Amino acid sequence: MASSDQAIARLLLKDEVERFLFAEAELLDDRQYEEWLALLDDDIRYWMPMRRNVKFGELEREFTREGQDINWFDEGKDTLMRR
Amino acid sequence: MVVTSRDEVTGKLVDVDHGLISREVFVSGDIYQQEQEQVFARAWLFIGHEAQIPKPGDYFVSSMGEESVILCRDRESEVHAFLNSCMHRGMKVCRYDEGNTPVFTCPYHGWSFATDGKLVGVPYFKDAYHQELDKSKWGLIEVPQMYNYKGGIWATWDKSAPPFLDYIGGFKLYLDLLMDSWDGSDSGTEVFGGVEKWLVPSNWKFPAENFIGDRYHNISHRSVDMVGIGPSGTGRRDTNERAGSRLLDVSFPERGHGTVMALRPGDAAIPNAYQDLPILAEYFRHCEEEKKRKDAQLWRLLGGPGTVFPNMSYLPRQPRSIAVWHPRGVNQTEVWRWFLVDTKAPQEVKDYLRHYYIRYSGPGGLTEQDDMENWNYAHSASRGVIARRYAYNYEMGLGYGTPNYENDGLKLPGLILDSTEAKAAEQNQRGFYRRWAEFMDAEDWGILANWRNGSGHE
Repeated sequence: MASSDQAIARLLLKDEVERFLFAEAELLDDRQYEEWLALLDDDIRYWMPMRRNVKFGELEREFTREGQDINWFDEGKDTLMRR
Repeated sequence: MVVTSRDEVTGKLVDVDHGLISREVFVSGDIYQQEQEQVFARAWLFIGHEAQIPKPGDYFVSSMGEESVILCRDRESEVHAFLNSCMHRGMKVCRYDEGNTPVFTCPYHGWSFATDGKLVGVPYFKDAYHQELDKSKWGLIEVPQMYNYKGGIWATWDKSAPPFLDYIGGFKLYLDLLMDSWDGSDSGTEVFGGVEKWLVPSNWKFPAENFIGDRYHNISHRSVDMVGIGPSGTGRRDTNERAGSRLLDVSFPERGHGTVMALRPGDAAIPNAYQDLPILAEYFRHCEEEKKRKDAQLWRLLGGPGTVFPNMSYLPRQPRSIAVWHPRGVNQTEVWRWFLVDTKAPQEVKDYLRHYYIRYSGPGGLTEQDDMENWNYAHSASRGVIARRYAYNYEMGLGYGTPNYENDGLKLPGLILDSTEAKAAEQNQRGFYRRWAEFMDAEDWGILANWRNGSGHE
């Protein structure tokens, strides 16, 4: 029984996450940016590294490093708000 | 449109005396093919920064025009640039963006080349070649001229091209605003890890001319200027620094280079700038004081965007960076952007600037993304058979430049147009295309080095 309770809890959580993502997408589709921003934590990190083509065995070079290199994005809520 | 003979470009497709430039210059496949030979195989091109290859064996794969080149440091710490194509069957001997290696081994048949370009390994050398292949003749093709200018590495495929410093000429004064340390001391810059690379669906000359001096497109950046993303707090990022300055458009039409900048009045005080963070404000104030102490006249120059002919553009202040507009077909440009910072800047300053560079630049940057839209749709709306019939207009400020500019005792090189009241001019763009046309028409560097016989006025 315990394991099926856990499985149900997982499914409910998954459902909750999905609903949140759908609601977020809807806000963005409707251009309700203020409402969307209100959903985000103040300490949100928004980071997208750049990818390099590197030799096998040098995978540590594959992505630019957060907090050190140039990245496509490396920002927080302040910049997201200005966008 | 087919351009069959020389002297077809100057005066016809490029009529700078009347401020008219044919759209064929941007959209014709034949012209594009010709400029690979006439422009990119002969001009000095920026290929990378020495800070990218600090150790023996380090390499960075770059590009000169359409062609892939390997910038590397050999075992003796000598820097080289090689055509990235195997001498046996043409395969790229290096397919990676960067790394460290003792040899470049071609993935096709296994010929291997040392980091000084020498052919050192040939499979079946004994059995199939009977040891008769002269390996000393089959090393990688090396650029005939390369120059390390304050850390920036430049190269040309033309051995008859003038030396780099002659190619740059008096423009050096302005390029140094990018390459020297913020406090005015010689050199001293490094690049951050990560070169931004992205594709823009437009001809490479759109961005090159935009950076050479388009002050006219502030409408494009209105939203980001309103929001304010700069290091000085709110509004346009450098309003404080430019207070009371003259705006100068500087062109070297005999060489093709140009920049737009601000000139502070002779009695200017050091402004409050970079107010976002105390350590940042303090660093820049310290540097400004040092620079002013070293040369109070040169301190008055506030560098702005510029282009070194043909396809290297830069921003000497923030976001301090170098862009190269690689041609990738007549309708496409691959943009590469390197980001520079003073080596001796405190870590907090580097971190702050890095974040600023990122939020400003590249396809995800709040400012640069506006430019992509313009180049993209200007190009695509110029490709049609009807659109091609109509030349672009480059008349703004035609004939208003002066070759002997002086202000408060400071004489500046180049053809200078004071655009403070006018707010914008297209002198620099005309200088760029005048030079481009000369490259397209000229047989050789004997003709192209025209500054040696005093040419250079608009």
